[in-house]
Amino acid sequence: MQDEKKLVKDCLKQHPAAQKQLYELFAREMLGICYRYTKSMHDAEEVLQQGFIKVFQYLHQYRSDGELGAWIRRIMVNTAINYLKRRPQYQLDLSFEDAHLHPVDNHQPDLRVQMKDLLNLVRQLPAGYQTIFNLHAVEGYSHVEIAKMMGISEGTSRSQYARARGLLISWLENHGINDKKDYYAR
Amino acid sequence: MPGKTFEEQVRQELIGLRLEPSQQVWETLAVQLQQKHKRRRIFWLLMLMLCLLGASGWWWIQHNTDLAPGHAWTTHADNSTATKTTTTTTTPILPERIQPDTTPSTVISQTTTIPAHQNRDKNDYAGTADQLPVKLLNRQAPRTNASVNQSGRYTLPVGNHQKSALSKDLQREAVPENGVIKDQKSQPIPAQDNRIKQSVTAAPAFRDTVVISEDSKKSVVSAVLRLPPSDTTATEKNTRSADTAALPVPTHQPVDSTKASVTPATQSAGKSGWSWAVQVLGGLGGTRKSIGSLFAAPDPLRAYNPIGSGSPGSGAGSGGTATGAIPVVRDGASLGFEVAMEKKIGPKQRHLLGLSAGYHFYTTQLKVGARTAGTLLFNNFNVSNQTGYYFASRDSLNYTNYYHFLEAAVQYYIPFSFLKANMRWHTSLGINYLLTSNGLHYDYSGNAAYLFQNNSLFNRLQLNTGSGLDMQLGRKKPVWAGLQVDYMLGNLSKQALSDQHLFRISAILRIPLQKPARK
Repeated sequence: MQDEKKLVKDCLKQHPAAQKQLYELFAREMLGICYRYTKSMHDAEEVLQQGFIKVFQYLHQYRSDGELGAWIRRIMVNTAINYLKRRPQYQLDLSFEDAHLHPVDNHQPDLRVQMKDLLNLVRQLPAGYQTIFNLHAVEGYSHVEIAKMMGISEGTSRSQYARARGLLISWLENHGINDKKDYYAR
Repeated sequence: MPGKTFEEQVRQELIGLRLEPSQQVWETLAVQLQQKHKRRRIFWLLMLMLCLLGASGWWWIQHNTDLAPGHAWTTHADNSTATKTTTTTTTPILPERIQPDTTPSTVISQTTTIPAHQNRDKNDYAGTADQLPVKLLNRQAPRTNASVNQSGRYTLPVGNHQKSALSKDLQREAVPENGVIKDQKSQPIPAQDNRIKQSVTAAPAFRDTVVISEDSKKSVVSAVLRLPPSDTTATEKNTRSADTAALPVPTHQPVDSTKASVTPATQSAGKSGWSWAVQVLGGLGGTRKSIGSLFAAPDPLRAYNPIGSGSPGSGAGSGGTATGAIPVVRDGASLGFEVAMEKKIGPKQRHLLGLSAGYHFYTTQLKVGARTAGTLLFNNFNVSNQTGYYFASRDSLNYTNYYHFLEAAVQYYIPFSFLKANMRWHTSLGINYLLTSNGLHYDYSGNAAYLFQNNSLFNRLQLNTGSGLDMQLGRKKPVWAGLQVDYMLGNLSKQALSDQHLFRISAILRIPLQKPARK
């Protein structure tokens, strides 16, 4: 914790070495987050880069009583969402306003999924589904929070999540995860 | 993972995902952080320069004592004649600046008083010992040199071209022998003191001319006075102490805006009629494809499209599919510093002709991809970039194109009044030379698009046109503020099918330069 504080102080003084140290400390974890929200490693790296620019730009707003990693994670998630919002295909995914709440399929499949396979399946979802699934299932945001973050209604968030979840489960059950061969394509 | 919900399983699997980023990410990030740091320093440097410029302009104005336009004048005399002698006139267009005479002179400075003539009766100036209280004269006519000639006349010399008019005026308004003071309508007014007769001249050409004559000594103090409003108190005080002196005192009265609208330009004009000013412009600049799209969003397809296909994914020079999107272009900040001069023209001297020269700085914002060291040969131009690096055409990094220009321009001003405010519409035509730039060009190499620097692809000489509206701020020390639109008529880029016309919408501040008083 003391090291983090000193690191932040040095970064605020624009010390390049401290900036690099901060980057190296969190880059892997943050790239994992970015990768989940994007369709390619290149896009993920762009989000990572933009996210770190924001981190260094707004580091003075970071309160040292909180966890630095969590603060950076929030920035990365928001950067990823903003990045995706600029993509036309992503906007098409969320262009409709679905007022009907789709009931969540409570079927709990007995799955033994490997991270690599699951990750690839999630990334094959349409961008809107993928984002909402990540935000809700992985990051733990509520639908109200997701609606605020993405500028959609809570109902849309719920329905998108339900569809994403249903798609994933059906892929996992019907086609088997071994059919998804494309791993971490850069 | 039996017993766990689907969400729990997913979270457990994905939350700990860690991937190794490529080395290029940090390199690009480091470059961008350095650029931001540098930009911040440049911003503060520019702010400092602006502050210094503003402070020097303010200092210059503060040390200038020329009369503000549009002050009304009231002449005061002693109580017995006040009702008859008080006249109010709108400030006329003042005569040319008074030039020093060749005769040895007693210079009136801020604290100088005119020494009394050796034969002058001390009682002539009640309560003021033997000195004429000319503190007001000093402030009113800072550029005038007073002198005492051999005949014992106090004179304030004027330029050659003014001498004849002034002498005629003085002769016509010579101190009347019958001891009366004439107001500007030449109505005889009895003077209280026979020994001192004063007349206030208000001849058409020199309404501000005041002649204070001393009959018995045949001394005449004549001055072309310019009274700033702040001198009212001092003037009144000194006037009373001079007992019978009739001196002009400015009062704030409604101004004839038609006349006033043209006076500021002539206030500081020299013998040649040119008045000088410095101008600062600041606003938003960018590139447009034509003058008709000035207020539309930037069009990157026209600004950065050497292929002309409009689609980044096709038509890449040698065929095949190109990668790399056409860059995102945004408008950027723009600044300008100019020295300007202007002169009244036209049969009625109502319009103004202006000349200006200065430095102008345009920017546009681009999104680029990662920077790569090396040089490339491009499909359309067999030139490699000059800097030893180029950028991928993506939207991950911000890049600012800087364009530094020298400009010489001619302006035409039409003054008018609107809601009692003095305003001017102006239009200009200028020639610009691109000194240097870091602007990027867009082209394909193989099937990939890149952005690169090559200043030989710029048309360095540019014609520009502009128009704007100015409003006068302040009466005493007037400055002009307004809005101006500039547009470069020539295409900045030599690349085929690229239309890059620089434009700028800016706020403009014009600070007249007036020569400080001679000491």
